[in-house]
Amino acid sequence: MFNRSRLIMILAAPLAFATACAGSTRRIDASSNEGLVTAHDVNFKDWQDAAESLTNSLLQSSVLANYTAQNPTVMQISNVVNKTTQHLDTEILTDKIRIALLGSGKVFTTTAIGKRAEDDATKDARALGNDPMIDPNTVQPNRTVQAPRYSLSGIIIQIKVKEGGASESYFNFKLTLTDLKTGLGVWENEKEIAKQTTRSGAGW
Amino acid sequence: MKSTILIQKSTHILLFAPLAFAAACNTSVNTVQTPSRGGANRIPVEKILFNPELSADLRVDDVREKMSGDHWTIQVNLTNVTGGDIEYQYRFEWLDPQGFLVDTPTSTWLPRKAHAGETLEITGVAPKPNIADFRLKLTNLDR
Repeated sequence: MFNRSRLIMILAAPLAFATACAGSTRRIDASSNEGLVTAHDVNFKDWQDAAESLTNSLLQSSVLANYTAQNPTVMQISNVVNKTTQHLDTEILTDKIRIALLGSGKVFTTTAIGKRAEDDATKDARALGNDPMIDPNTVQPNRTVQAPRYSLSGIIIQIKVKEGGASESYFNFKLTLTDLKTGLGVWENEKEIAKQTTRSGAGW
Repeated sequence: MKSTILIQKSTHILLFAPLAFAAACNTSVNTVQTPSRGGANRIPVEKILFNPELSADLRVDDVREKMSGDHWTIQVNLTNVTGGDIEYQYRFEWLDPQGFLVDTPTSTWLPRKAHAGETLEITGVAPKPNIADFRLKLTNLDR
């Protein structure tokens, strides 16, 4: 008689082996510095660092000084050009900044206008006036959507350098606030982040 | 009073060294009273919260404030009093008039390095006008 428990052990052995070899996975605090740091990528802490620095600079700028919660201005989020060698979702940076600006009470960002307008509903809601199913009294009127006064745009640049077993990346996050009334850049700032890595000489 | 608390903490650390070693990996902070310097300070230094290891390495020289429009701006001047480089992290936390923590993307732990003997500034800008109070937390950067 073939031992049944022995059969189970034989069948389960590969699974047990795979389990033993598996790495551990854990949640980390996204506000902490527990995340991986890689030299040639923009890590989540780099986004947070750039957003903190650029938001603080913008909030301190004289451009926004005249705006208050009672008298906010309207900003359009334009393109942030990615000139790095990586695929970057630059919205990570602009979304953090727009959340902070909205929280400040000084700035509303338009979601209806611009190359990256997130929400077509503002336009679509007005088209409902042609729909016989819709009560015309509930359709949003035209000429009520606010045009932006400012536009926030930017560029992210990466310079990679390698020498011997060491390599490094320099990232420059630069943002510009344009006054759409005059076309002038009225605020600009940048955040520099440089990271270096060395290859272990013990590897083979 | 706070000195007593610190002495008690030190005794506990000696008694429970292995536990303390494990706990060193987290980002808990303890208040350390640092004598204020100069007459320009308008902010009590008790708002600067260090973890015990870092409090011996970084000295608070000055805490300054100003208004940027209607936004409260805090600048903390620090000096690395050691002979080596220090990797540390800091985080500003902002409190509304009711004492509630204000959630903002800019309130996050940020890594920094202080070179031996270097004097440096940490600046925080209140995320909105009606901020009543703040805390600056500093701790070692453990990787």
